[in-house]
Amino acid sequence: MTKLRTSGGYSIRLSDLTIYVVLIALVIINTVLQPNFIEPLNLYYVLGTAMPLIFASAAQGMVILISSIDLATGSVVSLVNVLVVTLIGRGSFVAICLAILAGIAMGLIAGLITTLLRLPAIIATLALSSVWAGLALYVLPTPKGGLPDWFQTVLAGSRPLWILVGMILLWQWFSRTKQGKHMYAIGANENAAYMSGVPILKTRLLVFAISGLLLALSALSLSATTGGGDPLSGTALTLQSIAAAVLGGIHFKGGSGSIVGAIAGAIVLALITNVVYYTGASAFYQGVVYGLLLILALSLSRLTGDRKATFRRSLKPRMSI
Amino acid sequence: MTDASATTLVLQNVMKSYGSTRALRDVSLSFEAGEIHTVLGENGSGKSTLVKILSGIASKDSGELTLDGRPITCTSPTVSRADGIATVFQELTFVPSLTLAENVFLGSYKRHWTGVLDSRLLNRRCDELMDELGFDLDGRQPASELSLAQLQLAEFARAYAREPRVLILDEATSALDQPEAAALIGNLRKLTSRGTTVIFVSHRLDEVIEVSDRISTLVDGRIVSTRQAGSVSRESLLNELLGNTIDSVRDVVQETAAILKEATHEAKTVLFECEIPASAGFRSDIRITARRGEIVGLAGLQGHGQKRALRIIGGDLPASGMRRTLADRPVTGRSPRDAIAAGIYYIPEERKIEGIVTGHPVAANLVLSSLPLVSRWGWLRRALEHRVAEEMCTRLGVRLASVRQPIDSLSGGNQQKVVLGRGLLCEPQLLLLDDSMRGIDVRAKNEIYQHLVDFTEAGAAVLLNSTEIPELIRLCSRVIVFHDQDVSAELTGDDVNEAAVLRAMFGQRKAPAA
Amino acid sequence: MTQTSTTASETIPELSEGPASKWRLALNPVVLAYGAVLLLAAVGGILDRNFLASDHLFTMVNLGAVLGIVAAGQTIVIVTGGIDLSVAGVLTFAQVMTPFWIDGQSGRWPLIIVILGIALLIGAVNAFGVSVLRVQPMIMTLGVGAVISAAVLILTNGSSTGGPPKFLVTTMTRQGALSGLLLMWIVVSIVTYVLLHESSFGRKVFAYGASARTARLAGLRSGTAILGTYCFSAVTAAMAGIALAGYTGSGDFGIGDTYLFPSIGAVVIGGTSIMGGRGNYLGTIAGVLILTVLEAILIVLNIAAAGRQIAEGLAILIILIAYARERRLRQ
Repeated sequence: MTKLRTSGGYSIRLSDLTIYVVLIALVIINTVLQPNFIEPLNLYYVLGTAMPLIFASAAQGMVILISSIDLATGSVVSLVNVLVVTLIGRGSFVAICLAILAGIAMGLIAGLITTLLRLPAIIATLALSSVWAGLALYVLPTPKGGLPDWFQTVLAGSRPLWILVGMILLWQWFSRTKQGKHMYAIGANENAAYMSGVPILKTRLLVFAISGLLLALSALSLSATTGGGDPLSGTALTLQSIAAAVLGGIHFKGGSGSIVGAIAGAIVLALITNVVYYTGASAFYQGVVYGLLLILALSLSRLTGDRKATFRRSLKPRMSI
Repeated sequence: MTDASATTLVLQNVMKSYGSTRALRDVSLSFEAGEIHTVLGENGSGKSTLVKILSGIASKDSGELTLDGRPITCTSPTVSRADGIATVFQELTFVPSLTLAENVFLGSYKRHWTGVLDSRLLNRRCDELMDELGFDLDGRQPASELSLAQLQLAEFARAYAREPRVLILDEATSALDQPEAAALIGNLRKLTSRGTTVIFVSHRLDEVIEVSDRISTLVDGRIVSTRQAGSVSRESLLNELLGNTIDSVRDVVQETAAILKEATHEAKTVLFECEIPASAGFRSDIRITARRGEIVGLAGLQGHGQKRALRIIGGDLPASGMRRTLADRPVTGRSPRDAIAAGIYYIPEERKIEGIVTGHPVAANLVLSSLPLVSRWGWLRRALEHRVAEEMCTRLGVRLASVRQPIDSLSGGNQQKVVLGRGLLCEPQLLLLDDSMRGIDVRAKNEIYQHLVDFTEAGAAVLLNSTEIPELIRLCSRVIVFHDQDVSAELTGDDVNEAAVLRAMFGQRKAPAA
Repeated sequence: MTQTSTTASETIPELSEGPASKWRLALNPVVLAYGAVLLLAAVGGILDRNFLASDHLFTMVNLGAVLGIVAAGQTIVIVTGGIDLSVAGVLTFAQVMTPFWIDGQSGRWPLIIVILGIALLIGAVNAFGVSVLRVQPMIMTLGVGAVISAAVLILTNGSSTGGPPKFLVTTMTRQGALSGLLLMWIVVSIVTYVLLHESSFGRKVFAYGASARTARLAGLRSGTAILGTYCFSAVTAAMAGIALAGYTGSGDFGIGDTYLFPSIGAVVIGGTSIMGGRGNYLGTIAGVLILTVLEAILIVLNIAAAGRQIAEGLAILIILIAYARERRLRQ
């Protein structure tokens, strides 16, 4: 009696595309409002400021794909951010390596707690979030600058674009590997995956570790854009990354969607900020637009998804041999 | 057929309990290479537990397992598989977002040096496999686009591809038509000729007698007998399965049922009439009637429409253009709630997720559909609630210590009685039972039969969908049989027998009786 | 899962006919949670003699009351299997708009009712999204919360001015046994308890949370249960905000966020399942007390905010490990 979620097929492809349509629309709106928006330098700049959210959304997307959720995203980013700033005095290489290791370690801890101890992710990561946020506050109680100048040029020029291209290629590769397929299997039906002999613990830990790595990268790019450390720097990323991943078509119950969609979702959120800025409206409208968009996108994909489900139900189970 | 060449899998004194329930009490069995060995048992007899232990999903409490003389542990599905045990589960284990080929080889992928899955190789292997098995399935199709039957065949293909020492089929033909099932079973001989042991778990008697070399019967977590398939009769198997401890109860029901059957031959007033238009997914318009005092059976292979028809009548599935009349009054509305208000109560199959509110007291579960009865201005009147619940529990013979007890602490049969009681509290005129007695113990089942008979004798009616034909034959004066989204026969009187029902289930049409 | 679920308990008809107390008390999360409250209070008493003095106890309860009021609504939402992230926005809305609109003039008190009315509307929007549009509760309330937070900024143009009416300040800042905050928490608690455990509404909420299918087939109107649930949650969050406005005297745009995660934590510590269908409001009260007393102890120990956050996170994790684990794959 396993429930087969009726994904795939016509409507899902439609809702998968939605985010790209919105993305293009936003680019057009931005260009209309501010003609030099479309110039490469400006685009690179927009991408560069969106990098922290892009990485965080990819991290969140990975976790949601295995039917889990990470409410500690923002705190992990904050902690890595303050770690980089405090460690940079001991050499940049050491600081960056330690930051990345810290990110992966935090991902693994979340993975172990939700897999081995079988705590519900929603509440376990919430508790972890409190722990990481506390640690960040302990490491660096007040915001502080002091990152070397070269650090801030990491995201200068066309680099954000190349990072993005690299990410997309890596994802295309990963989603086609054995581990990638296992990840989808676990997200769609963990029980079934277990019965098919998919190594649950290994795969889940891998996904959480990758997610931690991405969060570390998010924190590094955040450090690069702000040039300093702040124990609250990542806070907003938790909910924004969930919104971006879901907007990007990753099914909230796991098992379907793509990280490329999550990245597009993150860029959409960034462009909305831009539009609000260009229209000269108060920055406060950003939240309204972004909240409404989230609800709208979700209810639309639900409505089309439902129609698809009824359609499938009416098909009678027949086959030819 | 059996060349008692070598013993493959041996179970010695295997035991397993879930809490205080003993699912397997001391099972010892040995399987031979190249044989098809059926383990036959009713739902709840422990056969699924046996399958789960062998495939590594559940752990045994005690006992020894050996394969080809070597002790095996079966500590996880991966371990079992590495030891050469492959299982085709009744429940489907497919991932909708992967292709069929990716699903078939899930858990045993080969890949390039790049780490990417070699999908060309995968699809080729899948094509070869399907050719060998004679299944018309395309490995490139996403699993989400396959029908239930196609998925079940693919499940079999997956296990087959692993070239197992022991292949376990756990009710693996439930969604298949006869030709499909035949195609699947035909492939079993290919496996046995290579020395594979096939363990067939089923409760479809005819299928079992036909294909098996040996048959073991499992009753109440114990192996009752193991015999050559050629030497057993259906009757003796049936008797073994039903056990003899509950003969007296069964006789009572049979007697009452017999009286009931006779009574319905006389003209009785029609209580319920329903027309479901073909547009609701059937091949033609479906018409179902029930007279007062009648238990009408619905039968059919899984997925052939009988369940859907019942759920439509109960308001659980929409069907535009449907007409229902109960006691000369039209039933309007589209939800179960409206159906209940009109006097139709639907009792679902999946007790745990559709029937009970887990963790809640028996009393709360009993009055769930009649909250206004036990509350004033939305405030629950506990004393009244408990009195109502206790009365109903006494009436139905629910075995419990207190109605405050959580429903989870009752046995499955008693839980189902509580759900039945919930329906009866609404004082319906028509009860719909959707395979609701599946997997409950024989004693509780017989008691529920008795309550159904009592219920109809008071002038009400029951529509009973069941996968267990003996149940239908014992209880129903009329059986409506579905085949391929249509009614293939409406059997009455002496025509209500196992052979006729089975024939109709497999699509042999007969002029419907008026 | 048919086979899995049925084989487990069918073969033996009679089961568990032990004494009633056996299944009610043994390892009951609510009992454990209250045990933890007492234990923490004792620890506090050992660390500091004044910890258990009535003054300090009342201060603690007053601090906990706001969280308690938010957690009351959150409890019912979580019992339905949902989660309400918009409580942060609603709380901020009420806490900022009360002084902004009333501007210290007690004559404008009806605006408090307007604020509660708006909260009711917000709850209805959440419920509409969850039950009609079928958006995941977490996403729906996340979106609605974002809109409200932004709306507060737009309405006030980003600066919180004005002041709460006098009567609100005097009731909420009153110290002692019957402070306004405590009184409010008690009233909200009684209403919540009755709604959840003594009313037919509560039965619908539990049935829906355990299984939406069960609720539907039993003929319950799930829509109304969801509507009531989210409206109640929004109204309690707004009440907490109004009370806080009186307590602090001026608006604070970030205040809602500080209560969001503790409100969920308190519910779960109290033994209510985050998956829905199981829970007890009495446990939530214990959960609120645990978080409050724990915080007070850490303050007594002179531990900085950072350490307090870490300790709270770890405490929640430990309690979760004790009784909120999910079912294992292997049986």
